[in-house]
Amino acid sequence: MDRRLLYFTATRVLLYRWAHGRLAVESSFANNEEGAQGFAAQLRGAPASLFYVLVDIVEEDFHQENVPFVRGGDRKALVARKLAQRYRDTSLSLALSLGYEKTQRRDERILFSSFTNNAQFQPWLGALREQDAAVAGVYSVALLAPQLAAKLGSKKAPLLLVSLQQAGLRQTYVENGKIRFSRLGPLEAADATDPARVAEAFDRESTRVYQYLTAMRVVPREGAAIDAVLIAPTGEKRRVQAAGPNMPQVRATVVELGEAARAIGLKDYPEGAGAEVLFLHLLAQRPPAAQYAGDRLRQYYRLHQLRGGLVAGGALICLLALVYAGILLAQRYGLEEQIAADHQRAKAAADEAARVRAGFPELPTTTDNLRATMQRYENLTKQSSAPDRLAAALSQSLDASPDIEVDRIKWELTANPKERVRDVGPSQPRSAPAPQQPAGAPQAKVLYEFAEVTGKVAAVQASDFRQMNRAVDEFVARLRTRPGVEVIQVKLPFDTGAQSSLSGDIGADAGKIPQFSVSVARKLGS
Amino acid sequence: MKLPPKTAQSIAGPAIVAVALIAAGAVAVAVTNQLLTAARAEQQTVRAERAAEQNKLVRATDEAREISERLVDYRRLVDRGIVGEERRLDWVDRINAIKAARKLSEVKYSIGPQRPAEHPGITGGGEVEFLASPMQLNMALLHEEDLFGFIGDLRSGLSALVVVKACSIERTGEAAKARGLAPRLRALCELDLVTIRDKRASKA
Repeated sequence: MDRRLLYFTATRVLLYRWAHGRLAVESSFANNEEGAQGFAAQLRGAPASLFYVLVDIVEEDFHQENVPFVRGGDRKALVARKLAQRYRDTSLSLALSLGYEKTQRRDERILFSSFTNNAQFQPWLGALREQDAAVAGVYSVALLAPQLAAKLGSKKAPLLLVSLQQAGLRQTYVENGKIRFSRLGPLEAADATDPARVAEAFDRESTRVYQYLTAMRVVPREGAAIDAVLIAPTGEKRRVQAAGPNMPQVRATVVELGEAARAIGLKDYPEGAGAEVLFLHLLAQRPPAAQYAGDRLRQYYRLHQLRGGLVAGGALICLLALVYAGILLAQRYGLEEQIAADHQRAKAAADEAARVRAGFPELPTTTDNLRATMQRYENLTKQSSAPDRLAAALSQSLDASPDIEVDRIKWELTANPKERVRDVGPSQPRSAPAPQQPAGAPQAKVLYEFAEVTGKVAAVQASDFRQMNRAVDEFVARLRTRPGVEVIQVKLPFDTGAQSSLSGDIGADAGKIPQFSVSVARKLGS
Repeated sequence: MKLPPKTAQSIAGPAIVAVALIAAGAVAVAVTNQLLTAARAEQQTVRAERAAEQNKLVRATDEAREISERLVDYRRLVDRGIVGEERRLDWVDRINAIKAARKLSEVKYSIGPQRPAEHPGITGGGEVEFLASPMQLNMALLHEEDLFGFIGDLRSGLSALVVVKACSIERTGEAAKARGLAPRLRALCELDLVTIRDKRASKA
């Protein structure tokens, strides 16, 4: 929406259009009934715009007062009451907070301001209301002076700003970025056109306002010198400088209008314009929060704000969503890179596996059968043995026991040799039960070679029981020394154990030689 | 804040624009979220695929090493006739040859019908079957070494894996009665002659 600024002086009302730091005068009206009608007529055919009203007249009042520290609705009611007490018409009024007193009560310093003759604005504001124009607010040059002072001088230090507008010579005293005092001194028409008189007016009005500020104790009388910025008309810098206030208490700096315009970013303005263009530019660019208009005049501006806010809010949410979507997309791209890398690794592994398989030799059977065959074959061979190994151990023990004569050796493979010592048949080899494989246990059991040796002791009289038992004991003792051989059971020729029965028949069958038996075992693979 | 009449109508357009912008943002988030979810699912699949391929590679490498180790032994079994059908005529010839070579006086044997071998660690399903033919051996011996030598020759020369299950060697007392060199021991043995039937060996 275009921005249009209505510059209101006591004699004329000018309509400016502002765009991209450039100001142009669209219309100029006399400040009377006819001018207001002309303005209303122009509004009817104009496109929708955002209007700012800048008032630069003498009839404005500033009044500073300390009020009790209150908040919210109480403060609002208090301010409204104070305004009503001071001004007859509060339709264009404001209360500007200047901060709090550093006392226990923390009273608030408020600058109350209003125009003392609101009637002169009504035809113009009425025309705006009639066209449902979006009026951002009604401002005075004094409200914009702190912004200009901050751009041209110091932001915090006290500054006296003196500028020449179409309305006259404006003097504004700014302290800590807040307005403390403002005054418009109108120039006579003859003075305004004479540069020498203008320069004199700068000197005269600056001196006068300084004296007023010291009299009102706004500026300390014996304090340090205050800075003053004098904005001279184009081409009048030297003249104003020469005529500047010759007072040790005021350090005046003269800035020409063009320099000031460049300092605040105003690119273009009408030729012959006064310093009002500086304030208009600042108003269009960054309007101050405080202004004079009430809610009724600003309702279409509020509507404009609401519409803009809706779109901006939607756009902001959309932007945030798009940023989040972008983050998600970035994560997806990251994942896609990982997926591609995984694909490559999987393919490389598959290719390598295929290469390895292609390198397999030609098999006479399947791989599984080859594996099963050889695993089971190994298991079987581990369980296989022949009697010769255990017989060799027996033979070595027998060589050292020449009295022992072996009649029979029974050999077999068994998983539990201790179970095999019972009920051994006389001549037939026991049918060695193949050790049963437990269900679900494909691994081979531990197997033992088991041998039962039956024999007798020769070269010893049959009646010499002690010698016979001693010979067998010696044989068994030698067997026990053989590596891996475990003697499971020994049956001596004469069983003299206390747990067995003993009987004798002296003189009967003296030639029969008693037999012994020894059962031994050896773990396969030992 | 005071608003003019018909505010609702005035803000309808911007409200629609705002809603459209929010909806567009939501759609963008939903679409990208869906894309991301799909990508995550795809990543899981591809990771599983990669792990499977790598496992296959490990298995193939292990298999290659195993094959190279076992194939030589397997071929040796095939060459010896242990893998394949029984060759009973060869066995008879071989037993006769051993008897003659060792000058044994008496070797009686009987070979029973073939049945699945019942030894621990060799049973189980599949296409490989271990079969055993039970052999009863009855020998007259001059010395027990004759038995061990005979069994040793069987184990090295027979086209079967010879598993000795039980043996009994007993003094006979016949040598005292006979003249000259006569057997004085008798051995009775039970053996299993094991062969391997590989159902795929002939097809391979």
